[in-house]
Amino acid sequence: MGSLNVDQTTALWIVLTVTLVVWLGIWGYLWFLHGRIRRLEQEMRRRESLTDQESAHAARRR
Amino acid sequence: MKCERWADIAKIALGLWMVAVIAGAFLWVPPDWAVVEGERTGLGEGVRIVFFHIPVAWVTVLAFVISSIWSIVYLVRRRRQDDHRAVNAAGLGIVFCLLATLSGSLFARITWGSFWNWDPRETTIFFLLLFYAAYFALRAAVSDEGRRATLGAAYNILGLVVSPFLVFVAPRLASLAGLHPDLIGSFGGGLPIGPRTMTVFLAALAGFTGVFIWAYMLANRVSRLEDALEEASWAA
Repeated sequence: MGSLNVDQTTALWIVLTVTLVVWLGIWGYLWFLHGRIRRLEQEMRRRESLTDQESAHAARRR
Repeated sequence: MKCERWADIAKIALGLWMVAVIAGAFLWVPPDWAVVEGERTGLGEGVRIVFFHIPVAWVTVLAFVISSIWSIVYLVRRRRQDDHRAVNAAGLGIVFCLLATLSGSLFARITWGSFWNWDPRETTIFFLLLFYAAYFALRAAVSDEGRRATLGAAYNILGLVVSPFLVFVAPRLASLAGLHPDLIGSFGGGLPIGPRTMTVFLAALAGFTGVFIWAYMLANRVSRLEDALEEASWAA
């Protein structure tokens, strides 16, 4: 395997940068997922309340 | 709404916390620690991997133990949601276990020159992966939902003993002493572990635990949504 000729400090900075990028990617993905789940939950609640209102209307008409 | 705002603050705090952990592990921990400890373990500067490898292994065990506890709760209460919680924890446990295996392989490559050496610790983590792969295989093999949950939960209870044993006990048995450096032992074992090293290590443990908690909560919310969707489709 070929080796990259960099001094120890540069190597440390490279590893630090890569680790940070990986972490920010994971964090960003979790944040994005959290937002989507939150929106789905809100939509679900909205639909549930609509269904409840509709059934209450139907009961009153009867 | 207020709760969601606190959740957002916690997420941002976790993001910054982990950035600080990563920066601390590479820049704040004194280089002489890496030199002394790296020489002892043969890792050189690569010894800094302990700030990631050990917390990930710790979260693996935490996830599997939580999964087993929810399996016990399922067998007692028979609630579908408890089974989902057990499955989600086991799934995340496997992800963290793979991360621990990969970071351990890097460890091995730096120290012993090859990625895999069948060292006792590598072997036990391999068994742990097999154990949970079998859990998911068992679940996939049963089509009836109730039976699948019951069988899975009964099997998963074993994990309460298996995962701590394979990660913490088996590799330390005298008869299995291998090449892997006992870094946790060294933290209590008289080596000059300075306050900075210990601070970053403990902060990393807390940070990775936070990442697990966040991911676990998301997975459970997805399961609840799936359940609600299924109920709605039945009602329609």
